[in-house]
Amino acid sequence: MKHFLYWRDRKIAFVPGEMLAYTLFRECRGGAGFGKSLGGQTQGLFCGIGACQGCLVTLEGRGSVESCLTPARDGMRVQPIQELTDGPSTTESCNDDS
Amino acid sequence: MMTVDVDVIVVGGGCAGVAAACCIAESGRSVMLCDQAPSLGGAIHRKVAEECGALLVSKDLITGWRDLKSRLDQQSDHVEIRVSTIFVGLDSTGVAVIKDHITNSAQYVAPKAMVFATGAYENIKPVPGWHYPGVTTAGALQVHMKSAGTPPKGKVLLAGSGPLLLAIAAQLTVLGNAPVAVVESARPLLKSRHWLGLPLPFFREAFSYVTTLWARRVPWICGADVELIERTEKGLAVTVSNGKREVNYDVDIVGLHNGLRENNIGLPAENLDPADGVLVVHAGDCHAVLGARAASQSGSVAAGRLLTAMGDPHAELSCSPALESHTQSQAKLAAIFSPVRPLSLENLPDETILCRCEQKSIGDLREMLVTRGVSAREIKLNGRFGMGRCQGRFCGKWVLDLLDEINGEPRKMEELSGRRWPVRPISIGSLTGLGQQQDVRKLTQTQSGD
Repeated sequence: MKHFLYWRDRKIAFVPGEMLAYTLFRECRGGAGFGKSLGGQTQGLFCGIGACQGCLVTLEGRGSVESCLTPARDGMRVQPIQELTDGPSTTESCNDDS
Repeated sequence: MMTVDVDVIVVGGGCAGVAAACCIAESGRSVMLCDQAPSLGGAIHRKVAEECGALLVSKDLITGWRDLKSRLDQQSDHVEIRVSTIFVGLDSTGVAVIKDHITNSAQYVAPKAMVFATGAYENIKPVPGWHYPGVTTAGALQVHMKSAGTPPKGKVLLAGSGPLLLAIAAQLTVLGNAPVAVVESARPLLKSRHWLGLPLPFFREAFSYVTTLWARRVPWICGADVELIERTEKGLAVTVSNGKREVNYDVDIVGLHNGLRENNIGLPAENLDPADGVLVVHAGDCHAVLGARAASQSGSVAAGRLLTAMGDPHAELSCSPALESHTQSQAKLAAIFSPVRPLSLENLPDETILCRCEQKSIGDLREMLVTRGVSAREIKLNGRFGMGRCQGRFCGKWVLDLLDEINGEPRKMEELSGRRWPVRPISIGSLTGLGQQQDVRKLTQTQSGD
């Protein structure tokens, strides 16, 4: 059975047991990354161990979390902290093959 | 929530932390063993997807971990395991704050002692473009493989230096997404003298990685560095140079790695004097990067030092195996993987981002350093290096190196990073929850006679 969560309101598949950051990395590995932080920096997977805070995303019902420390769960709703307003368009840069 | 009564908090549930927890529990003391991940195991034995476990972790390490786990199971009455739990800080009154990552709730614990076994993290040398999405640490790609059981999608280039880079390259290859190239700053094959001195397991492991890469014709480009990463329509364009010739690669993912360093930034310093408050020891790679094979021994040594300080006269003797051979092995590995061109920021263009969090460039730092005698603290407060979300974990070393190059004064990391809590961000929501525990906290202080 496939497992799904919602990223930017779009259903994406994840592997049970993996951290959210890796689900999102497969979706948005380049371009816009995981959106941007409140400070305006592009977010994305970097260290994978909670040290850099680069992969923060907003988890519904929880607030901002390090996605590399957060296990992916069925039906989880995840949004960028902010969308990028410049740079490559967020929809184009996602790998739309899930 | 109540304040938890416990003798020792161990932060980090890898080999070192679990070994320390076992030694302390076996002495009859109560232990709270915390790890930020959803399961114990640390970087090596974190939850490994079943289908690829044997491919990603060496057999001798798996056996060692199994033994440690069964030792821990025998101490279940004395050890409380908290996973998805992040250490936030140890305040001046000796109260530790930990946070449940899943519920976002904070908790106070008043321990007599603490062991930090938070492992290592990766040194990443800044290059122009390293801040783009798609550029990660090589270690993050390994976590991807371990947790998902599959390699990351897209073309991968690995670059930097060290044995871990080679290991990750081989693991990507075995799982079916061989890197387009592995760019290694050193010339490890020319260091035969050092290779011969390495213990057999290291030798065997390295040999299996190199043959895996050879069998799949993965280019291992030695004595070369990444000069530039640019964003293109399709992904990332990487320029690699050996000082004479340049090669370009179009990839989706760049995994960088320049060795490991102690993951101890901002943590409380070691303290073995009960008169100075909570006792603190560092264990495993958090204490000194000696690698996976030394971690459980190092955890036992740290526990021995701690128990001695806690008044246990035989502790140090009962759990203090020698670590010298591991120190020697690490020195040999460092010599084998010493970069051909020194890892200096000198030749990087001004616009290279140095501080990823605050987007400060090398040019910004050079401008500050024109003023002679500028202190690390000024660089942090006025220049914002080390001020951002990672608290200098990724730029700090390079900022201090450049400061040393220009001013000729070596500085310690803590001059830039400080040792203040929180060591990790904590939300206002969690802090509000903490506010409700003020009474419990006062009670704790009264009981401890402060």
